[in-house]
Amino acid sequence: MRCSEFKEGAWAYALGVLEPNERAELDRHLAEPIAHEGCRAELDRAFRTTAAMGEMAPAVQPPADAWGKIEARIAREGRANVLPMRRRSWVPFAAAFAAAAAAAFVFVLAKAWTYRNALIEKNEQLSRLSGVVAEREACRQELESMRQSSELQRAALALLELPETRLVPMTGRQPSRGNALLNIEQRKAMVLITALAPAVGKDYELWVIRKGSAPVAAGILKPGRDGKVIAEVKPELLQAGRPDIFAVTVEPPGGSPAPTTDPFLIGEVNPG
Amino acid sequence: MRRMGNLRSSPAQEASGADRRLLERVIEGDSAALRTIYDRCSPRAFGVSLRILGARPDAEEVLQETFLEVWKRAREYNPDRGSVEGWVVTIARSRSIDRLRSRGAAAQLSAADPSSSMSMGTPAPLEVAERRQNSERVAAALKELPPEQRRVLELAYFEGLSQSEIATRLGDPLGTVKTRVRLGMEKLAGLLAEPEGAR
Repeated sequence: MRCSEFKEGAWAYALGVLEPNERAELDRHLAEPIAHEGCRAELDRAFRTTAAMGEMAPAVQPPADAWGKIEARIAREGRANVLPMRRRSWVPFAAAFAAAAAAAFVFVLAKAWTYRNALIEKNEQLSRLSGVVAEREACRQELESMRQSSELQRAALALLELPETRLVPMTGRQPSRGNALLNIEQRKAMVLITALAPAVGKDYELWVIRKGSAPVAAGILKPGRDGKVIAEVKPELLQAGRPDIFAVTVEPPGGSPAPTTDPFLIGEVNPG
Repeated sequence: MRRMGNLRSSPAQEASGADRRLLERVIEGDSAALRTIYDRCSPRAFGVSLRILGARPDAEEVLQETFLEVWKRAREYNPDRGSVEGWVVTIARSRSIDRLRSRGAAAQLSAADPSSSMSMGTPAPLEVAERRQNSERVAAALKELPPEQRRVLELAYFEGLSQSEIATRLGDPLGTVKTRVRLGMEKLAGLLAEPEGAR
């Protein structure tokens, strides 16, 4: 078999439609110690294409108890790929006793040292109390931000569920990417963006653009620590009908009334 | 073949770094990592099994087998051959076809009813949006295939028929079916490789 023949057959191989003898022939060719002309790469490409074909079927949530059954089977059947736990080394009794005695001695010394330091620590605690208050406030703000993020997630999922919601891919400067969810009938739009670098000394600003009109500022995007951000576009910005473009630019802190840099993420809304 | 052992230099990998880290944790025996993969991949894997098998009890059995296999074979994942979700779905499809063949019940094929599904957990909207975007992309690419090519790919993917069986089913010469499989897959690969908005 020549490499060109293998590459022709690679598609059927990955799709699993070959007869056993045909498959074996391709396996033999792939195992041949020759300078292949991209055979493996073509087979990988065929496998990637086959894997993507799963998207033809609708995603269906499994029953709620499905994971529990899987967990139970894992516990029951174990696994082959986990290395066995290293066997605990045997320690002779005498050595263990000596180790325990040494540990006890160290423990007593440490206890005395700790007691001495406790007095110093007390004073330090007093000065830290003011810091604790600030920390508490930061924690409260973090929780509040998580609550808002959770509400936005629910709103985004609800918007996604609506059949008339359109998905507008936003692409541009890697690795940032995202989607705008647009439901013009209900005057709702949200953007979901991922892999945004932390905004230090700058802000990310979202724009709603209609051809022939100036970009309209739609808010500052504050990415979380994970680089993700979900934001809702104010309904009044959609009153004028379907936008043509959603864009994100980098602006000075607080944002700008008009973009001052080129967009690094753009999502064009297809007409229709 | 590239395996989980040397992922860093993979040029063609589609899996994200997070996916790879998850699988590395699965290899180490972390069932919480498997749970995360399950949350992300089970709807598509279950959807494919349901489409192939038609019966929910069978699809549920296959779902268990699929994730048991992911648990045992995480080390074998090859990022050159697609994302983690693609790999999981490929396992689900293979196990479903095995089951279909073992019961010899092609007649039992029927459309699954997604509306009867039960919800568990709340997926992250970013992931849901990306999944939907991928689905729309594949659906759009499939629509661009000539109907006869699309038909053979669907018979192959969802019914697990060999090229000879497809030829018998459709009454077409075997050579014609082979050509349709190859051309259809090549075209699909080309369409899926195109950047967003190029079509």
